[in-house]
Amino acid sequence: MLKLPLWVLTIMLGGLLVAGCGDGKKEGGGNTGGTGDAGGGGGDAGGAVKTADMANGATLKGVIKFDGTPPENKPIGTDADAVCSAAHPTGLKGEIYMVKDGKVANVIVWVKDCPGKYAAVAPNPTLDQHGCQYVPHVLGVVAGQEFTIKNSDGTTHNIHGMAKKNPEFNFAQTKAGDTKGQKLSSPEIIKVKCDIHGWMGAYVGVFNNPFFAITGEDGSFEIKGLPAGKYKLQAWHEKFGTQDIDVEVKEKDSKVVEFPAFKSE
Amino acid sequence: MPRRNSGSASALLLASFLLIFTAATVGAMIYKKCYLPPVMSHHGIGVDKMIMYIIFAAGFIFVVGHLVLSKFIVTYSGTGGESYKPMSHRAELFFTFGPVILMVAVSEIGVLVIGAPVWHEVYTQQPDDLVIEITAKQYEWTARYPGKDGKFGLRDIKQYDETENVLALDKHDKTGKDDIVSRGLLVLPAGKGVWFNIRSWDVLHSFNIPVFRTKQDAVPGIFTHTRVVPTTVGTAEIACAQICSAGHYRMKAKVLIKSPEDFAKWLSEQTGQFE
Amino acid sequence: MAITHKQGSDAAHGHDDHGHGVGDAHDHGPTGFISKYIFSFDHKVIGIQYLLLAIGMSFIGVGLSFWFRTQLAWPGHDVMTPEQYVSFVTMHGTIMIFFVVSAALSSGLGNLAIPLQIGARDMAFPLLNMLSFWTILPAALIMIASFFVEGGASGGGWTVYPPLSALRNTLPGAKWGTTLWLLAMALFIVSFTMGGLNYTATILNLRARGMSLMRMPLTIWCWLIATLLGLLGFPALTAAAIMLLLDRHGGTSFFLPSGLIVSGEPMANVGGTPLLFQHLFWFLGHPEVYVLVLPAIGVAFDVIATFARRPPQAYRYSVYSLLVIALLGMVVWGHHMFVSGMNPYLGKYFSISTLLITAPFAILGVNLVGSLWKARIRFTTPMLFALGLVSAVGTGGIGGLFLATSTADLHFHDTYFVVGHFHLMIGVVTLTGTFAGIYYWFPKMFGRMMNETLGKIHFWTTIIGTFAVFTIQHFQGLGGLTRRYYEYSAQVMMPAASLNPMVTMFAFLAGAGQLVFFVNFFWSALRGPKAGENPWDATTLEWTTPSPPGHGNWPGALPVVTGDPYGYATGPDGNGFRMQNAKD
Repeated sequence: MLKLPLWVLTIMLGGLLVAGCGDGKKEGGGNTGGTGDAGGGGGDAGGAVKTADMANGATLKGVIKFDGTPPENKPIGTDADAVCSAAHPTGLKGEIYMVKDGKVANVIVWVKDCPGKYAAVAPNPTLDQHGCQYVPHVLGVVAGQEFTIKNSDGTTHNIHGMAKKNPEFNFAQTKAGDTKGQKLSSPEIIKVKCDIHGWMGAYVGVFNNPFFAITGEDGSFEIKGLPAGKYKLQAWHEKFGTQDIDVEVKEKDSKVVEFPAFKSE
Repeated sequence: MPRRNSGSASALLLASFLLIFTAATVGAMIYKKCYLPPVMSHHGIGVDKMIMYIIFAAGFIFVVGHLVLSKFIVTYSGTGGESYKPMSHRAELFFTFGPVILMVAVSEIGVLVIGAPVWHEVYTQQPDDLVIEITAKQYEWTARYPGKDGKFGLRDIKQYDETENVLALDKHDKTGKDDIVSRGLLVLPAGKGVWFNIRSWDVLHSFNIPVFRTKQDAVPGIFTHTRVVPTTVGTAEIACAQICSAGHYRMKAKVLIKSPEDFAKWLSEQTGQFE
Repeated sequence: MAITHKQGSDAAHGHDDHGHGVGDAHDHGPTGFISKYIFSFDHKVIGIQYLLLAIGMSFIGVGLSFWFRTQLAWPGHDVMTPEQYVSFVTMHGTIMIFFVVSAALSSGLGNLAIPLQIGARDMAFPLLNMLSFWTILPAALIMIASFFVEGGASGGGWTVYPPLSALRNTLPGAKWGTTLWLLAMALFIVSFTMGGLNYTATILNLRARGMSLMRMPLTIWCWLIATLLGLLGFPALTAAAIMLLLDRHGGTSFFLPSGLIVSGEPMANVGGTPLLFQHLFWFLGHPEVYVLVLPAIGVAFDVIATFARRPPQAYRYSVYSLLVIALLGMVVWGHHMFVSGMNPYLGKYFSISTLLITAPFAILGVNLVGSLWKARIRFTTPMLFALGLVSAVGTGGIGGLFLATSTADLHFHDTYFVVGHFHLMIGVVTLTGTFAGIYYWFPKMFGRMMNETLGKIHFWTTIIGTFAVFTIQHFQGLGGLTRRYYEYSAQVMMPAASLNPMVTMFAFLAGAGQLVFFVNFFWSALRGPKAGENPWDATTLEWTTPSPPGHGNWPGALPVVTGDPYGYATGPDGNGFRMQNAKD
């Protein structure tokens, strides 16, 4: 009598597992920041990895600007962790709005529609956790390029990469000196955060080519080695969103490009 | 029987072990003052009373039980001695219902007389309590004070922002403008009742402050409550007590208990979420 | 099916058919190796299979605990990652409860002893019995396999509370580990149900002629009641597991409320509550404690009677107490949830009802100790383990008083006090009971005796190691040490945390003792001295047949019961004993 429902149950559970396999790759909702859809424009098409021609490629330069009064970064309470409080005796502020004299830092400028895949030219970067902050706040890598995640603090950080197209990663580094290499193969801009110190946020941009740059404190950027052609260029900021412009370059060109300034909401 | 001679040695060994175990347990409890951490809340004193009552009542049973067990093991080892006769029915009834009455009396009187009032104190909001909202998420505690208007503003989960608006307060709601959000730091006034509304964004957590003897799960979807009257100025820690994934052991927050004046000063120095 | 024995044909008192028997001869058992030892219908072989499974799984379960105990004692040496820690703690609990203790005690010894003690040729449903084992085996393999999937094994604690277990992105091991965990548990429940139905049917229907309910050994009573509790409780867990699987993979929201924000992302779930799962889980979870503990207590009653050379104290009241424990045990589950957010008045009720259980348990305790009164104790290894059990059951029960009192639970909940308490009860009590049973019934398994010297070494290392470990954990809990922490940094917990190295070293001692047991078990099975029919001068029916009993258990007719199970202290000098089937 009781045997039948049990076998039915077993079959049901088995069926659920099979059904479960189907949604294994389903993704959650949108990110809070203005995540760009890096690597659009047929970059995924596979094929051989090309090498950027740094000598003959074009160079693009510019400065990312902001109009009006930028929002202020909020002070951060670090009392939950004595190690973090000790690293910032005068208090800690967020790093979202890094605007000085109307010039915006931590903006990713990248070429949206450069076909094919290119190898990395820059050395493998490091995402350091230092003083309970990420250094740098925004990092760029070429797809498949390894970057190092490092803990310089005497406390535990967990590194939670909220990837959508790449596998999500989430692991802990429990002490100073811990390092781990991380490779991401699909282009996207990923938010990286520490769930223990919720204020800690960083972005890792993964691109098909090295034709990207991250603005420095003076808001300036420089992209080198870009093959001749017509492109869509994008400036991406975690809060301000994106600005797109068109640009056409020839071999060995050196162009100054002007993005429209970001504005307050 | 060939085991006749080894009997008494084993008996003495086992009885000594049981007695040493009993003595060591009792000794450690006395020497370390029952290991209890300091207590800094009003109901915590009551909880400790409850615990001490059980320690004495249960400890008595523990010691007597082990003494009798050891005594029997030594006395009735080997093959000689008194021969067994079944107990009279009266004696059997006595040894059956004696323990029943003893255990029910000891435990139920304890929980009703000592425990119940403390339990009631922890779960009853008083009219002049300060209300603080506690929000847990992997792996952080955030406290919210209602601000000058004494009212908590509304929430809108679409406005959630990990860095800037971790409580997802609705910026369009006026009552929330002055709400004070304190991340990783809970400041309390000594001597004043505090009623906590506890919630969670994601998984279960537990609002655990050992020196207060306070523990209350944070459950997503509902508010849970607990009440504390801190008794002394000092510092303490919230340490999550319900497994909430790998970072569970790091889910802490600092608790500062200030004098009522210092607390009022601290509160006035804070700025509201949207001020 | 042929009814082969005249005296067994009385339907009311156990007919004699053991499911597949034909003919009178009892040498008609299977002869091929596979049908005899692998896919066997014989309850004794199946019992040994369960024991071997439990021994195998205990290497994993105990090994995991040594691994994370090392991390706890000496943190900061990269012994493991926090992700591994939560997953190892979870898997240690699951494997030890369901695949070691339950498999060894309820299933292993139960299978071995029940038909022998009640005078049956086999279980009521031998095929179901075999299927039960061949269902728990894949369950165990799936559990092990979950270590090797992406993200590793489940890490939400053995209680798998949602939302942690229901959301697949809250935990590294939650991706596939928890799904496999749930599937393995579902198979385990199927296996347990097959075994449980078998136990109930066998005990109620196949007892030897003359064995009324009140002439059953206390072990049988304990197995019967434990089985009934399990059969009543497991459906709730089955339902919870199905709902949890649906929440994980079917997009439902049984245990997921609205307004969830996980890792910064709002979820679409609406309308569920995590508390529902806790109720369903503990509706099984608490009776499960008795499912594990009662058989151990039963074994202790039998072993103590045999080696104390007198009947157990107040047999009748022990039986009544067991029934009361079973009844009350079904309505006290909420004491695991005092601070869960449940209504405080409900908490009060559960506190009061739980404390009532101390009464029948006190009777059992008094009767266990009282069974030594005017005894003539023989200190064999099984007896030592049974006496160790008496002490552990008392100490563990007293710890229960603290946790059953809701007000005190505000301090003790989710601390090492809980860990120490339940390890004493469902770790030490069950394992001392299991060991007592294995040493006691070893002749009926392999026809040989286990080595007494190794047995005593095993006893002393086990008892010293485990008592120290779990008593100190009670102290740590008093000190407020929170459980399931990878390492400790809160100021208030440091004094308690400083005891961790000591606990770990005692745990290693207890573990080393188990190696002695493994050696003894396998060596004695092959090379131990041959045992006679009744090496312990015991009186119950399993000692009226050769060691080991052949297929069909009794070479001739089935025994007919003529008296109480514990006919000790007879004769003029009180040194005699009377077999339960003696014709006098």
